Amino acid sequence: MVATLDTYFEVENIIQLPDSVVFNVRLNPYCPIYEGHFPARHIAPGVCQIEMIRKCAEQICGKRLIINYLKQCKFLKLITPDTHSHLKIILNVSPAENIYHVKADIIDNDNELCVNLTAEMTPQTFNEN
Amino acid sequence: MNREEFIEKINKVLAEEFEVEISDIQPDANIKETLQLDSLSLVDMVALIEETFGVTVKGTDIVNIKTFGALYDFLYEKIDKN
Amino acid sequence: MFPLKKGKEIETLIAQREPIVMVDALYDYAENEADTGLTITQENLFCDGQQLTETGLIEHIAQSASVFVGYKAWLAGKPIAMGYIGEVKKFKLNTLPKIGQEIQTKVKLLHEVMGLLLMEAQTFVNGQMIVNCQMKLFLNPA
Repeated sequence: MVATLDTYFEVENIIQLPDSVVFNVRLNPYCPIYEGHFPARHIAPGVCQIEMIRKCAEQICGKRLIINYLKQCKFLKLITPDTHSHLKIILNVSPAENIYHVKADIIDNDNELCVNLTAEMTPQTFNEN
Repeated sequence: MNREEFIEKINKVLAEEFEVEISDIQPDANIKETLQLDSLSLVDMVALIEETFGVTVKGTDIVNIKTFGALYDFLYEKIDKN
Repeated sequence: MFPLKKGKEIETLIAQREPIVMVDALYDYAENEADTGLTITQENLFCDGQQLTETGLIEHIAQSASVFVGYKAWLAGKPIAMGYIGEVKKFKLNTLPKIGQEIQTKVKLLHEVMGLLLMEAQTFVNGQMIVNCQMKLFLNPA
């Protein structure tokens, strides 16, 4: 298995709420990324949480997104995929002209807040040289 | 700097940094609740105090201070000595 | 620039291992700052098509901070710690680096409070700044 975003997590279901969208996801505890992060103790890399949020935002917006400005991303609780593989990603995406204002929380199955993110993303244009 | 000026200054920088109303910062108010601090905020508090007032403080000094009033007392003594 | 540590030697300074090692050179070290490098290859986990992603940059910066701390520990003969990102703040992206380019990062320690490090970082490609941010790293003894 190669460590990629596809082998890192999968979306189990999506729930549309009035003000937000909830993605129920499952981490793959066998993803090869954990061989390096860390050999002694498997911890979900914080940047992978940011990638999951981005992927979910892309699904809401229907386009590839680039993170131009990450105002703040707090990692309040470590995520150990061996014991806490089910996560809830709650997103709020507000479009404003060509920018998407993204706020997201990731909650684990102890109902504890693990990640809180505020960022500006814009549609990615390809083949920029 | 007299104590009144000091309190005005510290309230202003705290309100800006932690994005709260200055009027919420009262001597009896709980710092953690008013500023919505979490485990990551202590270092921001220390950085802010050191950069604003030019004094050195330790996290272990600040972490147990509960109210703004207690913070004023602790810090003003340090600044007064400088 | 001749590195202080490079390639596999970086693994003596950080707890991360393949496939997620995101620093391949330590160029300079001082009490409160360090300069690191990473040449971007196709095989890099965070490569998306022709570029390194924003999250790859953040992980590189976090590991640059860990390399700084690890080198400090190595000089003092102490064991290295596991570094976790506590917070990323004001991450401003100018451009994404491409495969084949080397990114060079300067990390500066601003404050350390009870095991939590507040750092600022700037990443360059060919002398042009592509990213700057603030980061909090917390250290757990490995």
